[in-house]
Amino acid sequence: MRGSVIPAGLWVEGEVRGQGDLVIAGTVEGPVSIDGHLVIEVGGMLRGEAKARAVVVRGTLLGPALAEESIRLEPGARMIGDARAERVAVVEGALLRGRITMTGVPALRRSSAGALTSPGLRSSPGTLSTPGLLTSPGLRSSPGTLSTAGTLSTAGSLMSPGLLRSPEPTPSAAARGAGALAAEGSSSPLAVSSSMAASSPMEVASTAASASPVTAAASASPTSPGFRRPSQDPRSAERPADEGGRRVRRPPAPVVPGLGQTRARRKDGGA
Amino acid sequence: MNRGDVEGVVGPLLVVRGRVGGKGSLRVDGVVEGEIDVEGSLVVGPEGTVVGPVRAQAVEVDGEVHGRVQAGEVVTLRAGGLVQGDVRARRIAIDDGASLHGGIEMDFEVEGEGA
Repeated sequence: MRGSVIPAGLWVEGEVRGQGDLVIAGTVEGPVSIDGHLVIEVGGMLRGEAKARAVVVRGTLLGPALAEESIRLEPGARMIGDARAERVAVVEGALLRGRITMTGVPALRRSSAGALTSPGLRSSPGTLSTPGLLTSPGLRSSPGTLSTAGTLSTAGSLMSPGLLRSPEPTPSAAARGAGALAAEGSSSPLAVSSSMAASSPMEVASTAASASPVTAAASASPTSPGFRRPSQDPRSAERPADEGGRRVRRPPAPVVPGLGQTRARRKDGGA
Repeated sequence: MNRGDVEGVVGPLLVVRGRVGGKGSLRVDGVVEGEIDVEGSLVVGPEGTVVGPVRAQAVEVDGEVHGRVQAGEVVTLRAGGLVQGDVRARRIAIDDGASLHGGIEMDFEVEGEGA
């Protein structure tokens, strides 16, 4: 029997360290540092830092837990303190107040996988779902942050749909403004979704306005002389036609008429 | 020594720096630097070391105890065991090969002395 046992009814006041396993069913008041497994049994109590290869808590741990391999909080466990290990498991029925830090590679893989899936979801029109999915993998670790994520997403949902849409089209709209083109827009799901969102010219205008102050000013200034827009639009359209570089970019424009309009307006504002 | 009684174990290569106490029994195969006060029995194994005063119902020393040893019932010093300090108990047994550096104190009355 290599392990050590502090049975129920026995207490230790002070530091415990060394090699081998330790089972605490009694009380230890002081830091524990061992290279084996540390088990805090039902009714056991450790008041102090717990350092071990692996930590299993079925009783009470008041203090931080640091394990090389794993920390496992089983039903009935009560822990107040931060848990840091390669793997951390909290079984339903365990109570914990503290931060969990998982340093293991599998945990990292999981999070990266989550991040990978989320960008794909970003392109989908449902902007709401995206932040929630984005935040959730990282937030799995700490329940406290989860709630904030929830509030974040709800805050987003509280805002008007128009506002929600605007952030998505923003990059694509900016890209268009820069002359980066309807072609790209049509090819990428992002732009497609944005164009779908901005089904009507009005919405396009709003998204363009929200996209950048410049465009906002552009759309704002020509408001009174509404005729100028159409009159200037052809001119601006002609100008690029004269330029050799823009001829190439022009053909894609008709693919998404709405985008072409925004581009034209932008140029008006610029001119 | 009956291991059935031994509940608490300070395993080999484990170091406890502080006080240990309570209702149960304790076996020390590692190191305890501090006071031990248990209601049951205390066994200091061959590789065990205690630095500090020790009190239990029964104490058995196969290893080393540097400090005062006090037992409600019996203190047993096994061969190879070492105690550096006074020993106080109702009964004391020191095996051949054990070493004791300290005094022994036992409560008893001598008829002749009393009279």
